[in-house]
Amino acid sequence: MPPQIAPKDFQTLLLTLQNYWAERGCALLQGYDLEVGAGTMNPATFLHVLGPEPWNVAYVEPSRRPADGRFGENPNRLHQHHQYQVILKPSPKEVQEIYLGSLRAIGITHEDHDLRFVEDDWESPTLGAWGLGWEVWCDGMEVTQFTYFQQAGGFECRPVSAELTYGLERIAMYLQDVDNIYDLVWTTYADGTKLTYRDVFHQNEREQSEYSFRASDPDRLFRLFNEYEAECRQLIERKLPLPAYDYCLKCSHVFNLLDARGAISVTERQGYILRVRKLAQDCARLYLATRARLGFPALRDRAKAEQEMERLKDLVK
Amino acid sequence: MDVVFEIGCEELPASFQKPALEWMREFFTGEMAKAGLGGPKQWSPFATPRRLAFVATGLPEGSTDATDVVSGPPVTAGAKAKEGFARKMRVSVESLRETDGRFVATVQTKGMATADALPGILEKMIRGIPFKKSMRWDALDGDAFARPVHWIAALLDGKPLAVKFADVKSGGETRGHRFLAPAAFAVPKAAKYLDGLRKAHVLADWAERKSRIAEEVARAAREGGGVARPDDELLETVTGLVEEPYAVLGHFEKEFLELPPEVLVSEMRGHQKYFAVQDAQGRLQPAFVAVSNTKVRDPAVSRKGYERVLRARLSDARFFFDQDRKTPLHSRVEKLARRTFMQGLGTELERVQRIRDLALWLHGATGKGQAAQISEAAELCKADLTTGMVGEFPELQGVMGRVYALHDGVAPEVADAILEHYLPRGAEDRLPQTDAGALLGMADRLDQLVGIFGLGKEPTGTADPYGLRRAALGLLRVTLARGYRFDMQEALRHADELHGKSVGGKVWQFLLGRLEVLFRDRAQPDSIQAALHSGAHDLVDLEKRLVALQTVREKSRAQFEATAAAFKRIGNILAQAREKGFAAMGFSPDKLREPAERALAEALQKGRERVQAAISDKEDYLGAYAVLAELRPVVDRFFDGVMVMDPDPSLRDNRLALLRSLHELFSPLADFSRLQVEKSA
Repeated sequence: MPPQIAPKDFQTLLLTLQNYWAERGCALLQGYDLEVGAGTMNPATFLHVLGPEPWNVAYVEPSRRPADGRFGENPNRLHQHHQYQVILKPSPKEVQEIYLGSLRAIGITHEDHDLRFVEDDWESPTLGAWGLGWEVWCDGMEVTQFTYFQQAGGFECRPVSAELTYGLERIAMYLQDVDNIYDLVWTTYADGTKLTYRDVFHQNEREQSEYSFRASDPDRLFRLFNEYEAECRQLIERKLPLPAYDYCLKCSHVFNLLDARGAISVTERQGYILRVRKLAQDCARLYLATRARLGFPALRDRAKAEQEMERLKDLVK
Repeated sequence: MDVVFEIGCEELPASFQKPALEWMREFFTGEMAKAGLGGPKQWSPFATPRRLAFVATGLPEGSTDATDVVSGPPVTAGAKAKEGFARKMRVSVESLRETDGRFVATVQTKGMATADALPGILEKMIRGIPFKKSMRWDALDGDAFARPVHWIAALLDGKPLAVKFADVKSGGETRGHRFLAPAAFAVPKAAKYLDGLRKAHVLADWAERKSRIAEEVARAAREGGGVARPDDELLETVTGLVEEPYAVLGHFEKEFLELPPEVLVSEMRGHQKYFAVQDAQGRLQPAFVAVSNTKVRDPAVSRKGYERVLRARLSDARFFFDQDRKTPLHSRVEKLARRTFMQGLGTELERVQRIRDLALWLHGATGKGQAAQISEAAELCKADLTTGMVGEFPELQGVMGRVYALHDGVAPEVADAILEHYLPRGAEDRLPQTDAGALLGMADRLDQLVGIFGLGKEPTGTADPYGLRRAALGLLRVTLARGYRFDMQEALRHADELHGKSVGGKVWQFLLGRLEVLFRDRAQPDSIQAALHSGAHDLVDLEKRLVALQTVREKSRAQFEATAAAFKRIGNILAQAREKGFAAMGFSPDKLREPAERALAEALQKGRERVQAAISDKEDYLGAYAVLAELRPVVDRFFDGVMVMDPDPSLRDNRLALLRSLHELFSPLADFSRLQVEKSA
């Protein structure tokens, strides 16, 4: 493949990745319409990596991390950044090469850059999920988190999915050669005006930081946490894993807000993490059981589907 | 015969590579022996991020048929044992014979060609490598490996061996560098393996690659007018990250040199794996060396990348540094109340209060240091945990505490103690140079040990999740190195009180176990055992007793062994007497009958004061051993001429009492019953 021209603005970077993965047979989905801390929390990853059904998707995930907000003053940190998330299930044998092809597509080639796969194991205590893999370095900078999912919601992933999470702002800063996120060019208008990251997000960063660190009402957030948790529970009772999971995500986000506000003491912290994890695990169990009850319809290999249903029959009961 | 074996996989963690090779060697040698085949004449292990391999040369062609006669359990052990033995030997029960009251099996081993044995051994090897963490991937069923395996090469004298793992079948091909020589090519012959891979841009030999990196780094550092900061640990890590290294020099803005050097070094080596560059005096320069895995077209491009990442990190560090210094350490102490030290052990503030209490107690017991300094340093010693910098770089705890304390105008002695109380951080690390730092560190470790033992979370087997072995070793090393005299059991009791627990005894036993490890190179194991159980609870005293014991033992081995044996015998006699309920009490010179016992009583009487003075006043254990040596002929004559267990109870008890006082007099030297001595007196 010939080296391509590096995308010159943020949205061309997105489009290039979208094209690349679409050409390799991924369904292009969208980021979730609820607050999530990472693309992994989108049900298109967290729930879909469970069970035997194949799943190849790619999407941009706006990811909120209230504690990382810096009032728009830090050139490298954001309350909300964008991840490009790819799930390949099952993980193809040549996944590293396919991935490296995506870097080449955005102009990052091994002829010009020091590309390295450096051990980095991933674990999410709130999701009861873990995997092994690498952070991929381009000239010493982490450009992607590359994970072979081993467990999600406390369940073994069979088959194993490969998860690729690109940090888009970082990559864009590199490609555009800017030292400040807010100087990134998002796109160029028809009249030649450059729309910058500052134009699009700076006010949001200031306000969201103000909200996370100062303006939120911890008492109300604590009440919301309890309410969302209760709603999640009653939806689990009614065997509705997807709506239940939405409220699990709500709990997780409220927890992050409280944490950023410094409203959760160290001793309580672990307790809240465990509560969210419990919800996530229950949603995962219910989702898996529901797919099994449906007979894993997206799996064309029916013998394999039967086999997995048999293996999970205790879960279905 | 020569074997070339290579497992090719996706990038292995750097720290997994060398331990895997070690294991492979042991496994291979063991399995070959089990198959009746000898080991290789030469074994050469190779590891890179993408391969684990070895070349073994000089293997035998195979083994010949062999007949072994193996003797099993005694016939009296019965039918069950007989069956078990037959099963173990893989022979029929009927075929067992009886010789000299034992079952005997005749085991026939069929000779085996090395070529037939190897595939099984190699497959087992792939499955068996114990990685710290392993993963599953799709092609695997039940197996696991550190990262997905892509190829296996297995050749015996150039002919392929059939080895299978997951969906990979072995072949005769390998691959070179991921980017510079990605195509598969025939595995070179054993003698040419290294050379062939070198041509494919892979330096497979660890030592060669490591020294090439060192040269490359030195070259790049010279370009920057300096030398690389020596860092063997980083060198090892980088060796596990590249197959063919190229070093690139980079720079950062001079202003960042205002950051403490420890911060700069942590930023460079910790996450980025860059080598810091310093001048001849060891002062950091605004430069670094990154080691690339590829020779890129234009190093200026990747240099710019390396610099950009470091600049962002240093900017972050400077932000933390500036922010942190706005809040003095003293006013951070109260924030510790909001941090849990450990579930069940209260907050960091409560921990700090216990540490202060213990440190002051140690100060009282040893008479070292100044109370006011110790108290202030104790209060501040964990305050840096609340700083942004330590949040970002946990390894800088203590280092930042000292820097910030100096910035706040805290006395240098106190600031140093904050840093030093963490020392030594590992086996190779330096020890504290100030009393305040040493005492504080000891207090911290005592608190950890007693606290965590109190939760029932002491180390088990190889698992030591709270690092208690290291904590214990630190406590012992500091105490001994600084020659602090105090009763360790008392200190543990005090820590027990602070925790409301009573695990001091358990922790003491644990410390004794660690002392054994610490002294391992200085004396033989039974000497260590005997000295450690001599009854002292003052570590320095224990060490002196051990040194004396080992000195005497080495100087005149035969004589010492005889003396020790005599003492063991006395100990045994006294123990037996105790069991029988005999009273070894109330020695009376009037009851002495035999000349030999009278002589012993006299010699004991004469020696007593010298021994007591030597032991308790002067800790002159060698002097006490000298008296002991003088006494030995008298003791020997006593045993030759006197029957201790006389039928007359009063004579018997009197002799027992004589032996007991002799035994007691010398028992502070060592617990002789723990010595393994051959000769009996």
